[in-house]
Amino acid sequence: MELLLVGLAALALSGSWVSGLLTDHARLATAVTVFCGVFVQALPFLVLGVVVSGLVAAYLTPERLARRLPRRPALAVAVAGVGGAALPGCECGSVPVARRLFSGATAGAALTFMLSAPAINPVVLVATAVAFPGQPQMVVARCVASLLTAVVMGLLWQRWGRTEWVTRTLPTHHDAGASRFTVATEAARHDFLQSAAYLVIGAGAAAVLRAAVPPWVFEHVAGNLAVGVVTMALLAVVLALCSEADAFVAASLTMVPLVPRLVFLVVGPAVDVKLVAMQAGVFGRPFAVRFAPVTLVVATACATAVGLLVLGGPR
Amino acid sequence: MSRETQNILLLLIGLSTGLIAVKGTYLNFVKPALFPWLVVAAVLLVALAAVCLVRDLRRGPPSGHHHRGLLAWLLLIPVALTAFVSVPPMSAVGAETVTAAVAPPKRAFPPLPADGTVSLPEVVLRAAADSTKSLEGRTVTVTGFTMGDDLARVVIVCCAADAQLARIHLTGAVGQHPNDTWLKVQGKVVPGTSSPSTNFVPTMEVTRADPIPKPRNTYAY
Repeated sequence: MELLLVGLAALALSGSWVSGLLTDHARLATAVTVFCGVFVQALPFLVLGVVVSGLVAAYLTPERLARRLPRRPALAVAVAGVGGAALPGCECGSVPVARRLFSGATAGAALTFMLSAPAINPVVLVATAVAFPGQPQMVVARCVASLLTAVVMGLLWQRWGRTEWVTRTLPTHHDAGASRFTVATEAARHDFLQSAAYLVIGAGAAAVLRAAVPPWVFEHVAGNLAVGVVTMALLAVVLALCSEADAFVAASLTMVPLVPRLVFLVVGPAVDVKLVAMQAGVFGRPFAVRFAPVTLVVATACATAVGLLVLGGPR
Repeated sequence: MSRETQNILLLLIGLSTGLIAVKGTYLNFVKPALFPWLVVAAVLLVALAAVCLVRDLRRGPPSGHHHRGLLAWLLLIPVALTAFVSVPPMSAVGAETVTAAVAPPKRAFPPLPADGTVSLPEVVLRAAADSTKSLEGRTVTVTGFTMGDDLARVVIVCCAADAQLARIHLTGAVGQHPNDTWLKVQGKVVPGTSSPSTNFVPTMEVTRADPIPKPRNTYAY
């Protein structure tokens, strides 16, 4: 507590000095602005997410969820994928919600929900339709490829996933007589502090990378399909855009063919630097180092395959 | 970190979010449309912090919790940046990472507004992709800041992280202005100047250019 007061006083005193530093160093200012942009943009969605995760903690325990979901794991994963469409928001909010839903029996379904919710909800699909006027096949391709990625990852987890990789445990409420309100607020408080701290790390990584990615990167992705796909997948990871904005950025990259741009849209909501940081914080590091690279490969493969089928060859 | 400190941090995040929403500095980072959501987020966070603080005061902190929350100190960074530091909006240099080089598909745009006031990015879009050629022969008014011989605007879609630069080349009665002067410019877009060879930067024949004060919200959407 005393430490906090000292820290705040130091920050308040150094504020104007930092402001001066920003006016003198354009690159630093760019990075700091990107950091604030990502954080401020994500914050309302994160708050929405922890409100939902608080309600989940109070009303929908994993055992209760397991009873509601279809018995067959594959069917449960498919239902969770489609159910993701019901949570309008971007990817930051769905990580804590998925952690609350995650348990032995519902693990695959929870992860599928985490991946599908930010990618196929109505807000994101409408944004994609607006960004690509006259190209409805882009919306279809995005929806199909993202849903496919989420379901494949859920099934992969059912088959090979290990619960011991999830090292972060949720605080269990010892007080059995606690009211639902207490359970909900305690869960929301815990999830917000944890996710927001990792959001800071992720937004910082995105800011540094954005200031460091040289513009010529974009000029080399036009020619070769494979180069384009790999570049756009990596770009989606480092830029860490909100899933409601990435369609407009993809639409503006007009020199890149459609298939690599679809890869950008499918990879972005599933795996990027801020999400990896948040998953490491909420699920645990052993989980994140396995889940993120596999998701990247699966999302890239699904998007390329669906893209070639729906959008036609490289154009 | 103690539970009490965590609750105070929660409160601070909520208060600083409310602060940037009320002061209007949130416009440096995100779109105006996010305002109600920021207010809701700020209110929810402050309420949550208050509930937890009051509960701990009345019943004492719950036992049996282990506190490994060193990382929660990181939350002081956004609090400091939003409450104590004045972070500038995205500069033109920072936004200039993405440039288009292939024609967007042509489509029909709605007619121009009667007074001819159009946003700068819309002029760039219409010049490149309007199948109805609504700009031809029309005098339009755009605002932006000078960048060499160009007039530019930083465009954001969602937040400052996706900022891009839109620019128009100016010729004619522009006058001499130092870089980063905000201008209100009247003129006609020269047909055929938005092409792959110009990187789809159209040229405008200026009839009138007046310096204006820098707007509070520097982004275009």
